[in-house]
Amino acid sequence: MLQLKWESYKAKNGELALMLNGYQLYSKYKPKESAFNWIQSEFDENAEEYILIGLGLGYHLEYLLKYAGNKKIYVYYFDEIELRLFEEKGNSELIQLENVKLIKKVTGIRMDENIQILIPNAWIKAIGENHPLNNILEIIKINQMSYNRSKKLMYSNFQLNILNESEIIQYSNSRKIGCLIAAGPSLDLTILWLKEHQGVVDIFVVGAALKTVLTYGILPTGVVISDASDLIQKQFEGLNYEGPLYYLSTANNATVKFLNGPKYILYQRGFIPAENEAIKRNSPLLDTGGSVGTVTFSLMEKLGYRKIVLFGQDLGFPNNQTHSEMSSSNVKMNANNIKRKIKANDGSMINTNLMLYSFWNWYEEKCKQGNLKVYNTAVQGAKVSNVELINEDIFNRLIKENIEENGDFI
Amino acid sequence: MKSSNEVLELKESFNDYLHNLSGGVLYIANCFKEDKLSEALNSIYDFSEGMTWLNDAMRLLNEHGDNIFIDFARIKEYLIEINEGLEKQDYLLVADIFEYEIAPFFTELN
Repeated sequence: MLQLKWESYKAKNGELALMLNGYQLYSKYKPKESAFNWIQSEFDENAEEYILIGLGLGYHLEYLLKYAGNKKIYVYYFDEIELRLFEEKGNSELIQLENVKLIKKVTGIRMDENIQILIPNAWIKAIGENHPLNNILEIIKINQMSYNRSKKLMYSNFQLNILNESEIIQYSNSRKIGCLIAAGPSLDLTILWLKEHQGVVDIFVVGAALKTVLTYGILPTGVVISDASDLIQKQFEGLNYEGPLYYLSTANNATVKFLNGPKYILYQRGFIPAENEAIKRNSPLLDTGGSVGTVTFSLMEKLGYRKIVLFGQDLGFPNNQTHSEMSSSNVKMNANNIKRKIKANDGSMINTNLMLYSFWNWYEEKCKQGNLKVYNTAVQGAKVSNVELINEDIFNRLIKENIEENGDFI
Repeated sequence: MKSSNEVLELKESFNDYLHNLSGGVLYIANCFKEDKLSEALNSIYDFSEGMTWLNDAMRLLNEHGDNIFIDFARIKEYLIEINEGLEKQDYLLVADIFEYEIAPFFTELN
Protein backbone atom coordinates (compact mmCIF):
# COMPACT_ATOMS: atom_id res chain seq x y z
CA MET A 1 0.00 0.00 0.00
CA LEU A 2 1.42 3.35 -1.01
CA GLN A 3 2.32 5.51 1.97
CA LEU A 4 1.33 9.14 1.74
CA LYS A 5 3.33 11.37 4.03
CA TRP A 6 1.26 14.25 5.36
CA GLU A 7 2.97 17.12 7.18
CA SER A 8 1.06 20.01 8.67
CA TYR A 9 3.01 23.08 9.72
CA LYS A 10 2.53 26.74 10.57
CA ALA A 11 2.71 29.02 7.55
CA LYS A 12 4.46 32.38 7.67
CA ASN A 13 1.16 34.17 8.27
CA GLY A 14 0.22 31.92 11.19
CA GLU A 15 -2.35 29.82 9.34
CA LEU A 16 -1.95 26.09 9.15
CA ALA A 17 -0.43 24.70 5.96
CA LEU A 18 0.08 21.20 4.64
CA MET A 19 2.69 19.28 2.68
CA LEU A 20 2.23 15.89 1.08
CA ASN A 21 5.30 13.81 0.28
CA GLY A 22 7.39 16.96 0.48
CA TYR A 23 5.20 18.93 -1.92
CA GLN A 24 3.40 22.11 -0.96
CA LEU A 25 -0.36 21.71 -1.21
CA TYR A 26 -0.79 25.37 -0.30
CA SER A 27 1.39 28.48 -0.25
CA LYS A 28 3.71 28.44 2.74
CA TYR A 29 3.17 32.20 3.15
CA LYS A 30 -0.58 32.50 2.76
CA PRO A 31 -2.09 29.03 2.49
CA LYS A 32 -5.78 29.94 2.53
CA GLU A 33 -5.29 32.64 -0.04
CA SER A 34 -3.60 30.26 -2.46
CA ALA A 35 -6.58 27.92 -2.22
CA PHE A 36 -8.92 30.85 -2.73
CA ASN A 37 -7.03 31.98 -5.85
CA TRP A 38 -7.24 28.51 -7.28
CA ILE A 39 -10.96 28.05 -6.70
CA GLN A 40 -11.70 31.52 -7.98
CA SER A 41 -9.91 30.85 -11.24
CA GLU A 42 -11.24 27.31 -11.80
CA PHE A 43 -14.82 27.50 -10.63
CA ASP A 44 -17.40 26.92 -13.34
CA GLU A 45 -20.73 28.39 -12.29
CA ASN A 46 -22.54 26.49 -15.05
CA ALA A 47 -21.85 23.13 -13.46
CA GLU A 48 -24.55 21.60 -11.33
CA GLU A 49 -22.32 19.37 -9.23
CA TYR A 50 -18.67 19.36 -8.28
CA ILE A 51 -16.05 16.79 -7.48
CA LEU A 52 -13.10 18.18 -5.54
CA ILE A 53 -10.02 15.99 -5.52
CA GLY A 54 -8.20 16.33 -2.22
CA LEU A 55 -9.51 17.28 1.21
CA GLY A 56 -6.31 18.42 2.94
CA LEU A 57 -7.07 21.16 5.44
CA GLY A 58 -10.35 21.93 3.72
CA TYR A 59 -9.37 25.32 2.32
CA HIS A 60 -10.41 24.54 -1.25
CA LEU A 61 -13.66 23.09 0.06
CA GLU A 62 -14.34 26.19 2.11
CA TYR A 63 -14.00 28.53 -0.87
CA LEU A 64 -15.78 26.14 -3.21
CA LEU A 65 -18.77 26.23 -0.87
CA LYS A 66 -18.79 30.02 -1.03
CA TYR A 67 -19.10 29.88 -4.81
CA ALA A 68 -21.22 26.76 -5.17
CA GLY A 69 -23.83 27.56 -2.55
CA ASN A 70 -26.11 24.57 -2.09
CA LYS A 71 -24.95 22.62 -5.11
CA LYS A 72 -23.70 19.12 -4.45
CA ILE A 73 -20.00 18.76 -3.75
CA TYR A 74 -18.19 15.43 -3.63
CA VAL A 75 -14.83 15.62 -1.90
CA TYR A 76 -12.40 12.83 -2.60
CA TYR A 77 -9.86 12.10 0.12
CA PHE A 78 -6.84 9.91 -0.34
CA ASP A 79 -6.46 8.12 2.99
CA GLU A 80 -7.56 7.96 6.59
CA ILE A 81 -4.64 10.05 7.84
CA GLU A 82 -5.73 12.89 5.62
CA LEU A 83 -9.27 12.60 6.97
CA ARG A 84 -8.11 12.50 10.56
CA LEU A 85 -5.86 15.52 10.04
CA PHE A 86 -8.78 17.45 8.66
CA GLU A 87 -11.07 16.41 11.49
CA GLU A 88 -8.50 17.47 14.08
CA LYS A 89 -7.07 20.59 12.50
CA GLY A 90 -9.47 21.75 9.82
CA ASN A 91 -12.95 23.19 9.87
CA SER A 92 -14.62 19.82 10.36
CA GLU A 93 -18.11 21.35 10.27
CA LEU A 94 -17.74 21.69 6.52
CA ILE A 95 -18.17 17.99 5.93
CA GLN A 96 -21.31 17.91 8.04
CA LEU A 97 -23.09 20.15 5.55
CA GLU A 98 -25.91 18.50 3.68
CA ASN A 99 -24.58 19.16 0.19
CA VAL A 100 -21.07 17.94 0.97
CA LYS A 101 -20.27 14.28 0.56
CA LEU A 102 -16.89 12.75 1.38
CA ILE A 103 -15.93 9.97 -0.95
CA LYS A 104 -13.18 7.40 -1.01
CA LYS A 105 -14.09 6.02 -4.43
CA VAL A 106 -15.22 7.78 -7.58
CA THR A 107 -17.28 4.91 -8.93
CA GLY A 108 -21.03 5.26 -8.68
CA ILE A 109 -21.09 8.97 -9.42
CA ARG A 110 -22.90 9.84 -12.60
CA MET A 111 -20.41 11.74 -14.72
CA ASP A 112 -22.03 13.99 -17.24
CA GLU A 113 -21.14 17.37 -18.64
CA ASN A 114 -22.75 19.16 -15.76
CA ILE A 115 -20.32 17.93 -13.18
CA GLN A 116 -17.07 19.85 -12.78
CA ILE A 117 -14.02 17.91 -11.67
CA LEU A 118 -11.69 20.16 -9.68
CA ILE A 119 -8.13 18.88 -9.44
CA PRO A 120 -5.49 21.16 -7.97
CA ASN A 121 -2.29 20.32 -9.80
CA ALA A 122 -0.34 20.30 -6.55
CA TRP A 123 -2.18 17.16 -5.45
CA ILE A 124 -1.35 15.29 -8.64
CA LYS A 125 2.36 16.02 -8.22
CA ALA A 126 2.28 15.29 -4.51
CA ILE A 127 0.72 11.81 -4.72
CA GLY A 128 3.51 10.86 -7.10
CA GLU A 129 3.80 8.94 -10.35
CA ASN A 130 3.40 5.58 -8.70
CA HIS A 131 0.08 6.34 -7.11
CA PRO A 132 -2.70 4.42 -8.90
CA LEU A 133 -4.71 7.60 -9.48
CA ASN A 134 -1.83 9.64 -10.85
CA ASN A 135 -2.31 8.73 -14.51
CA ILE A 136 -6.02 9.31 -14.73
CA LEU A 137 -5.83 12.59 -12.83
CA GLU A 138 -2.99 13.80 -15.07
CA ILE A 139 -4.99 12.92 -18.17
CA ILE A 140 -8.13 14.69 -16.97
CA LYS A 141 -6.07 17.68 -15.92
CA ILE A 142 -4.18 18.02 -19.16
CA ASN A 143 -7.37 17.81 -21.17
CA GLN A 144 -8.94 20.47 -18.96
CA MET A 145 -5.92 22.74 -19.35
CA SER A 146 -5.83 22.26 -23.10
CA TYR A 147 -9.54 23.02 -23.35
CA ASN A 148 -9.25 26.14 -21.21
CA ARG A 149 -6.50 27.48 -23.41
CA SER A 150 -8.44 27.07 -26.62
CA LYS A 151 -12.00 27.57 -25.35
CA LYS A 152 -12.51 31.08 -26.74
CA LEU A 153 -11.02 30.20 -30.10
CA MET A 154 -13.14 27.05 -30.28
CA TYR A 155 -16.34 29.02 -29.77
CA SER A 156 -15.50 31.68 -32.30
CA ASN A 157 -14.40 29.12 -34.90
CA PHE A 158 -17.57 27.15 -34.31
CA GLN A 159 -19.80 30.19 -34.87
CA LEU A 160 -18.07 30.89 -38.17
CA ASN A 161 -17.83 27.27 -39.29
CA ILE A 162 -21.52 26.52 -39.01
CA LEU A 163 -22.12 29.29 -41.54
CA ASN A 164 -20.08 27.39 -44.14
CA GLU A 165 -22.98 25.02 -44.78
CA SER A 166 -20.57 22.13 -45.26
CA GLU A 167 -21.81 18.59 -45.74
CA ILE A 168 -22.05 16.24 -42.80
CA ILE A 169 -20.48 12.79 -42.91
CA GLN A 170 -22.45 9.66 -43.74
CA TYR A 171 -21.85 6.09 -42.76
CA SER A 172 -20.75 4.31 -45.90
CA ASN A 173 -20.21 0.66 -45.01
CA SER A 174 -16.96 0.71 -46.95
CA ARG A 175 -15.23 -2.58 -47.41
CA LYS A 176 -11.97 -0.86 -48.24
CA ILE A 177 -9.10 -0.86 -45.81
CA GLY A 178 -8.76 2.58 -44.25
CA CYS A 179 -5.27 3.98 -43.73
CA LEU A 180 -4.82 6.66 -41.07
CA ILE A 181 -1.76 8.79 -41.76
CA ALA A 182 -0.47 10.69 -38.74
CA ALA A 183 2.76 12.63 -38.61
CA GLY A 184 4.87 10.65 -36.16
CA PRO A 185 8.50 9.78 -36.96
CA SER A 186 7.71 6.26 -38.24
CA LEU A 187 5.86 7.73 -41.22
CA ASP A 188 9.19 8.40 -42.90
CA LEU A 189 9.82 4.66 -42.87
CA THR A 190 6.40 3.45 -43.98
CA ILE A 191 4.92 6.06 -46.31
CA LEU A 192 6.15 4.30 -49.43
CA TRP A 193 4.06 1.22 -48.67
CA LEU A 194 1.05 3.23 -49.83
CA LYS A 195 2.30 4.19 -53.27
CA GLU A 196 1.27 1.11 -55.18
CA HIS A 197 -2.02 0.62 -53.37
CA GLN A 198 -3.57 4.06 -53.81
CA GLY A 199 -6.64 2.96 -55.70
CA VAL A 200 -7.61 0.11 -53.40
CA VAL A 201 -7.24 1.67 -49.96
CA ASP A 202 -8.67 4.86 -48.54
CA ILE A 203 -6.14 7.24 -47.09
CA PHE A 204 -7.06 9.78 -44.41
CA VAL A 205 -4.28 12.20 -43.58
CA VAL A 206 -3.91 14.51 -40.60
CA GLY A 207 -3.08 18.07 -41.66
CA ALA A 208 0.42 17.87 -40.23
CA ALA A 209 1.27 14.91 -42.50
CA LEU A 210 -0.17 16.31 -45.74
CA LYS A 211 3.08 17.78 -46.99
CA THR A 212 4.87 14.45 -46.54
CA VAL A 213 2.11 12.51 -48.26
CA LEU A 214 1.92 14.82 -51.27
CA THR A 215 5.69 14.92 -51.59
CA TYR A 216 5.63 11.16 -52.09
CA GLY A 217 2.97 11.55 -54.77
CA ILE A 218 0.20 10.01 -52.71
CA LEU A 219 -3.30 11.41 -53.02
CA PRO A 220 -5.40 11.43 -49.86
CA THR A 221 -9.02 10.37 -49.73
CA GLY A 222 -9.34 13.17 -47.23
CA VAL A 223 -7.39 15.49 -44.97
CA VAL A 224 -8.45 16.09 -41.38
CA ILE A 225 -7.98 19.18 -39.23
CA SER A 226 -9.14 19.74 -35.67
CA ASP A 227 -7.01 22.47 -34.12
CA ALA A 228 -8.53 25.86 -33.39
CA SER A 229 -5.29 27.79 -33.84
CA ASP A 230 -4.35 29.87 -36.91
CA LEU A 231 -1.02 28.06 -37.00
CA ILE A 232 -2.47 25.04 -38.79
CA GLN A 233 -2.87 27.03 -41.98
CA LYS A 234 0.88 26.56 -42.43
CA GLN A 235 0.23 22.87 -43.02
CA PHE A 236 -1.40 23.73 -46.35
CA GLU A 237 0.69 26.62 -47.62
CA GLY A 238 2.19 26.12 -51.05
CA LEU A 239 0.56 22.73 -51.52
CA ASN A 240 -2.45 23.71 -53.66
CA TYR A 241 -4.49 20.96 -52.06
CA GLU A 242 -7.98 20.81 -53.50
CA GLY A 243 -9.06 17.42 -52.24
CA PRO A 244 -11.68 16.70 -49.59
CA LEU A 245 -11.33 18.36 -46.19
CA TYR A 246 -12.84 16.98 -43.01
CA TYR A 247 -12.79 19.59 -40.29
CA LEU A 248 -13.84 19.59 -36.67
CA SER A 249 -16.59 22.13 -35.98
CA THR A 250 -14.18 24.09 -33.77
CA ALA A 251 -11.23 23.89 -36.17
CA ASN A 252 -9.56 27.05 -37.39
CA ASN A 253 -12.03 28.83 -39.63
CA ALA A 254 -9.41 30.76 -41.59
CA THR A 255 -7.82 27.48 -42.64
CA VAL A 256 -11.17 26.03 -43.67
CA LYS A 257 -11.83 29.13 -45.80
CA PHE A 258 -8.33 28.98 -47.26
CA LEU A 259 -8.98 25.58 -48.84
CA ASN A 260 -11.02 25.08 -51.98
CA GLY A 261 -12.05 21.46 -52.21
CA PRO A 262 -15.13 19.64 -50.95
CA LYS A 263 -15.64 20.13 -47.21
CA TYR A 264 -17.21 18.04 -44.49
CA ILE A 265 -17.91 19.30 -40.99
CA LEU A 266 -17.43 17.00 -37.99
CA TYR A 267 -19.36 17.45 -34.76
CA GLN A 268 -17.77 16.31 -31.52
CA ARG A 269 -19.05 14.85 -28.31
CA GLY A 270 -18.21 16.96 -25.26
CA PHE A 271 -18.70 20.37 -26.84
CA ILE A 272 -22.32 21.30 -26.25
CA PRO A 273 -22.88 23.60 -29.26
CA ALA A 274 -21.54 20.85 -31.54
CA GLU A 275 -23.74 18.23 -29.94
CA ASN A 276 -26.80 20.42 -30.46
CA GLU A 277 -25.92 21.11 -34.06
CA ALA A 278 -25.38 17.40 -34.69
CA ILE A 279 -28.87 16.64 -33.44
CA LYS A 280 -30.30 19.37 -35.66
CA ARG A 281 -28.55 18.03 -38.74
CA ASN A 282 -28.85 14.37 -37.84
CA SER A 283 -25.08 13.98 -37.99
CA PRO A 284 -22.96 11.35 -36.24
CA LEU A 285 -20.99 12.55 -33.21
CA LEU A 286 -17.26 12.02 -32.98
CA ASP A 287 -15.12 11.30 -29.95
CA THR A 288 -12.17 13.62 -30.31
CA GLY A 289 -9.51 12.09 -28.04
CA GLY A 290 -7.67 15.40 -27.98
CA SER A 291 -5.54 15.12 -31.11
CA VAL A 292 -6.07 15.32 -34.85
CA GLY A 293 -4.95 11.68 -35.08
CA THR A 294 -7.60 10.47 -32.67
CA VAL A 295 -10.21 12.65 -34.41
CA THR A 296 -9.25 10.99 -37.71
CA PHE A 297 -9.62 7.56 -36.14
CA SER A 298 -13.04 8.49 -34.83
CA LEU A 299 -13.99 9.80 -38.27
CA MET A 300 -12.95 6.61 -39.98
CA GLU A 301 -14.86 4.57 -37.44
CA LYS A 302 -18.00 6.61 -38.05
CA LEU A 303 -17.57 6.39 -41.82
CA GLY A 304 -17.77 2.64 -41.44
CA TYR A 305 -14.27 1.29 -42.01
CA ARG A 306 -13.87 -2.13 -40.41
CA LYS A 307 -10.13 -2.41 -40.94
CA ILE A 308 -7.85 0.50 -40.11
CA VAL A 309 -4.09 0.61 -40.54
CA LEU A 310 -2.22 3.23 -38.53
CA PHE A 311 0.72 4.99 -40.18
CA GLY A 312 2.86 7.44 -38.24
CA GLN A 313 0.75 7.16 -35.08
CA ASP A 314 3.78 6.61 -32.87
CA LEU A 315 2.52 8.19 -29.63
CA GLY A 316 6.09 8.25 -28.40
CA PHE A 317 9.66 8.68 -29.65
CA PRO A 318 12.77 6.55 -29.44
CA ASN A 319 15.18 9.48 -29.60
CA ASN A 320 14.10 13.10 -29.40
CA GLN A 321 12.00 13.56 -32.50
CA THR A 322 8.24 13.97 -32.12
CA HIS A 323 7.13 14.23 -35.73
CA SER A 324 8.33 13.01 -39.11
CA GLU A 325 11.11 15.01 -40.77
CA MET A 326 8.96 16.95 -43.17
CA SER A 327 6.05 17.63 -40.87
CA SER A 328 5.49 21.24 -40.00
CA SER A 329 5.10 20.15 -36.40
CA ASN A 330 8.54 18.64 -35.99
CA VAL A 331 10.04 19.81 -32.77
CA LYS A 332 13.10 18.45 -31.06
CA MET A 333 12.10 17.58 -27.53
CA ASN A 334 14.28 18.43 -24.61
CA ALA A 335 14.52 16.41 -21.44
CA ASN A 336 11.97 18.58 -19.67
CA ASN A 337 9.11 17.44 -21.86
CA ILE A 338 9.73 13.78 -21.37
CA LYS A 339 7.37 12.45 -18.82
CA ARG A 340 7.64 8.73 -18.86
CA LYS A 341 8.63 5.57 -20.69
CA ILE A 342 6.24 3.34 -22.57
CA LYS A 343 6.63 -0.04 -24.26
CA ALA A 344 7.00 0.03 -28.03
CA ASN A 345 5.74 -2.48 -30.57
CA ASP A 346 9.22 -3.99 -30.86
CA GLY A 347 9.47 -4.48 -27.10
CA SER A 348 11.88 -1.60 -26.51
CA MET A 349 11.09 1.25 -24.13
CA ILE A 350 10.49 4.61 -25.77
CA ASN A 351 9.88 8.08 -24.38
CA THR A 352 6.54 9.75 -24.25
CA ASN A 353 5.09 12.90 -22.77
CA LEU A 354 1.85 13.57 -21.01
CA MET A 355 -0.14 14.60 -24.07
CA LEU A 356 0.94 11.62 -26.18
CA TYR A 357 0.29 9.36 -23.23
CA SER A 358 -3.28 10.61 -22.99
CA PHE A 359 -3.78 9.90 -26.70
CA TRP A 360 -2.32 6.41 -26.25
CA ASN A 361 -4.74 5.86 -23.41
CA TRP A 362 -7.63 6.86 -25.71
CA TYR A 363 -6.54 4.26 -28.27
CA GLU A 364 -6.25 1.64 -25.53
CA GLU A 365 -9.89 2.24 -24.59
CA LYS A 366 -11.08 2.44 -28.21
CA CYS A 367 -9.35 -0.72 -29.34
CA LYS A 368 -10.61 -2.75 -26.40
CA GLN A 369 -13.98 -3.13 -28.11
CA GLY A 370 -13.72 -5.85 -30.68
CA ASN A 371 -15.64 -4.58 -33.71
CA LEU A 372 -12.74 -2.85 -35.45
CA LYS A 373 -9.61 -4.53 -36.69
CA VAL A 374 -6.72 -2.12 -36.17
CA TYR A 375 -3.14 -2.58 -37.31
CA ASN A 376 -0.03 -0.56 -36.48
CA THR A 377 3.05 0.07 -38.62
CA ALA A 378 5.20 1.99 -36.13
CA VAL A 379 7.87 -0.48 -35.07
CA GLN A 380 9.20 1.88 -32.43
CA GLY A 381 5.83 3.43 -31.69
CA ALA A 382 3.89 2.80 -28.50
CA LYS A 383 2.22 -0.60 -28.30
CA VAL A 384 -1.54 -0.43 -28.10
CA SER A 385 -3.30 -3.53 -26.76
CA ASN A 386 -5.29 -5.48 -29.40
CA VAL A 387 -3.48 -3.61 -32.17
CA GLU A 388 -1.18 -5.84 -34.18
CA LEU A 389 2.12 -4.61 -35.58
CA ILE A 390 2.45 -5.37 -39.28
CA ASN A 391 5.28 -5.06 -41.77
CA GLU A 392 5.07 -4.25 -45.47
CA ASP A 393 4.61 -7.87 -46.53
CA ILE A 394 1.68 -8.36 -44.19
CA PHE A 395 0.23 -5.03 -45.33
CA ASN A 396 0.38 -6.16 -48.94
CA ARG A 397 -1.17 -9.48 -47.99
CA LEU A 398 -4.01 -7.78 -46.07
CA ILE A 399 -4.81 -5.72 -49.14
CA LYS A 400 -4.69 -8.75 -51.42
CA GLU A 401 -7.00 -10.69 -49.09
CA ASN A 402 -9.36 -7.73 -48.87
CA ILE A 403 -9.62 -7.56 -52.66
CA GLU A 404 -10.24 -11.29 -52.85
CA GLU A 405 -13.08 -10.93 -50.33
CA ASN A 406 -14.65 -7.78 -51.68
CA GLY A 407 -13.64 -7.19 -55.24
CA ASP A 408 -11.08 -4.67 -56.38
CA PHE A 409 -13.12 -1.49 -55.88
CA ILE A 410 -12.94 -0.24 -59.44
CA MET B 1 31.63 53.72 -26.03
CA LYS B 2 27.95 54.67 -26.30
CA SER B 3 26.62 58.08 -27.28
CA SER B 4 24.94 60.05 -24.50
CA ASN B 5 21.62 59.66 -26.32
CA GLU B 6 21.91 55.89 -26.35
CA VAL B 7 22.85 55.92 -22.69
CA LEU B 8 19.80 58.02 -21.85
CA GLU B 9 17.57 55.64 -23.78
CA LEU B 10 19.09 52.69 -22.06
CA LYS B 11 18.56 54.33 -18.67
CA GLU B 12 14.93 54.90 -19.54
CA SER B 13 14.41 51.30 -20.65
CA PHE B 14 16.18 50.13 -17.54
CA ASN B 15 13.95 52.15 -15.23
CA ASP B 16 10.79 51.18 -17.10
CA TYR B 17 11.69 47.52 -16.91
CA LEU B 18 12.42 47.71 -13.17
CA HIS B 19 9.19 49.58 -12.64
CA ASN B 20 7.10 46.92 -14.37
CA LEU B 21 8.99 43.98 -12.97
CA SER B 22 7.07 43.40 -9.73
CA GLY B 23 3.81 43.30 -11.66
CA GLY B 24 5.30 40.79 -14.08
CA VAL B 25 6.64 38.66 -11.26
CA LEU B 26 3.25 38.60 -9.55
CA TYR B 27 1.71 37.54 -12.86
CA ILE B 28 4.04 34.56 -12.92
CA ALA B 29 3.13 33.67 -9.34
CA ASN B 30 -0.56 33.81 -10.20
CA CYS B 31 -0.15 31.59 -13.22
CA PHE B 32 1.43 28.93 -11.03
CA LYS B 33 -1.23 29.27 -8.38
CA GLU B 34 -3.96 28.90 -10.99
CA ASP B 35 -2.38 25.89 -12.72
CA LYS B 36 -1.78 27.92 -15.88
CA LEU B 37 1.42 26.08 -16.41
CA SER B 38 2.38 26.82 -19.97
CA GLU B 39 1.85 30.57 -19.47
CA ALA B 40 3.86 30.37 -16.25
CA LEU B 41 6.75 28.44 -17.77
CA ASN B 42 6.95 30.72 -20.81
CA SER B 43 6.99 33.76 -18.53
CA ILE B 44 9.78 32.30 -16.42
CA TYR B 45 11.84 31.99 -19.54
CA ASP B 46 11.18 35.68 -20.30
CA PHE B 47 12.02 36.55 -16.73
CA SER B 48 15.40 34.86 -16.74
CA GLU B 49 16.25 36.49 -20.08
CA GLY B 50 15.18 39.76 -18.50
CA MET B 51 17.58 39.26 -15.61
CA THR B 52 20.44 38.76 -18.03
CA TRP B 53 19.48 41.93 -19.84
CA LEU B 54 19.17 43.85 -16.56
CA ASN B 55 22.64 42.75 -15.52
CA ASP B 56 24.15 43.81 -18.85
CA ALA B 57 22.31 47.12 -18.79
CA MET B 58 23.45 47.86 -15.25
CA ARG B 59 27.05 47.17 -16.18
CA LEU B 60 26.84 49.39 -19.28
CA LEU B 61 25.22 52.25 -17.40
CA ASN B 62 27.81 52.07 -14.65
CA GLU B 63 30.55 52.17 -17.31
CA HIS B 64 29.03 55.45 -18.42
CA GLY B 65 29.06 57.12 -15.08
CA ASP B 66 26.04 55.75 -13.29
CA ASN B 67 26.22 54.13 -9.86
CA ILE B 68 23.58 51.43 -9.77
CA PHE B 69 23.80 48.40 -7.54
CA ILE B 70 21.48 45.42 -7.90
CA ASP B 71 22.31 42.35 -5.89
CA PHE B 72 22.49 39.85 -8.73
CA ALA B 73 24.05 37.27 -6.46
CA ARG B 74 20.76 37.23 -4.58
CA ILE B 75 18.78 37.02 -7.83
CA LYS B 76 20.94 34.08 -8.83
CA GLU B 77 20.03 32.34 -5.58
CA TYR B 78 16.36 32.89 -6.29
CA LEU B 79 16.80 31.44 -9.77
CA ILE B 80 18.47 28.37 -8.32
CA GLU B 81 15.60 27.88 -5.87
CA ILE B 82 13.12 28.34 -8.70
CA ASN B 83 14.95 25.78 -10.77
CA GLU B 84 14.85 23.27 -7.94
CA GLY B 85 11.14 23.85 -7.55
CA LEU B 86 10.59 23.40 -11.29
CA GLU B 87 12.58 20.19 -11.45
CA LYS B 88 10.54 18.82 -8.62
CA GLN B 89 7.36 20.24 -10.19
CA ASP B 90 6.37 21.79 -6.88
CA TYR B 91 4.70 24.78 -8.49
CA LEU B 92 3.26 26.29 -5.32
CA LEU B 93 6.79 26.48 -4.01
CA VAL B 94 7.82 28.34 -7.15
CA ALA B 95 4.79 30.64 -6.86
CA ASP B 96 5.79 31.48 -3.29
CA ILE B 97 9.32 32.40 -4.34
CA PHE B 98 8.02 34.76 -7.03
CA GLU B 99 5.28 36.31 -4.93
CA TYR B 100 6.91 36.59 -1.53
CA GLU B 101 10.61 36.83 -2.22
CA ILE B 102 11.29 38.14 -5.72
CA ALA B 103 8.41 40.63 -6.02
CA PRO B 104 9.27 42.39 -2.72
CA PHE B 105 12.95 42.40 -3.73
CA PHE B 106 12.15 44.45 -6.83
CA THR B 107 9.55 46.60 -5.14
CA GLU B 108 12.22 47.64 -2.63
CA LEU B 109 14.66 48.44 -5.43
CA ASN B 110 12.21 50.89 -6.89
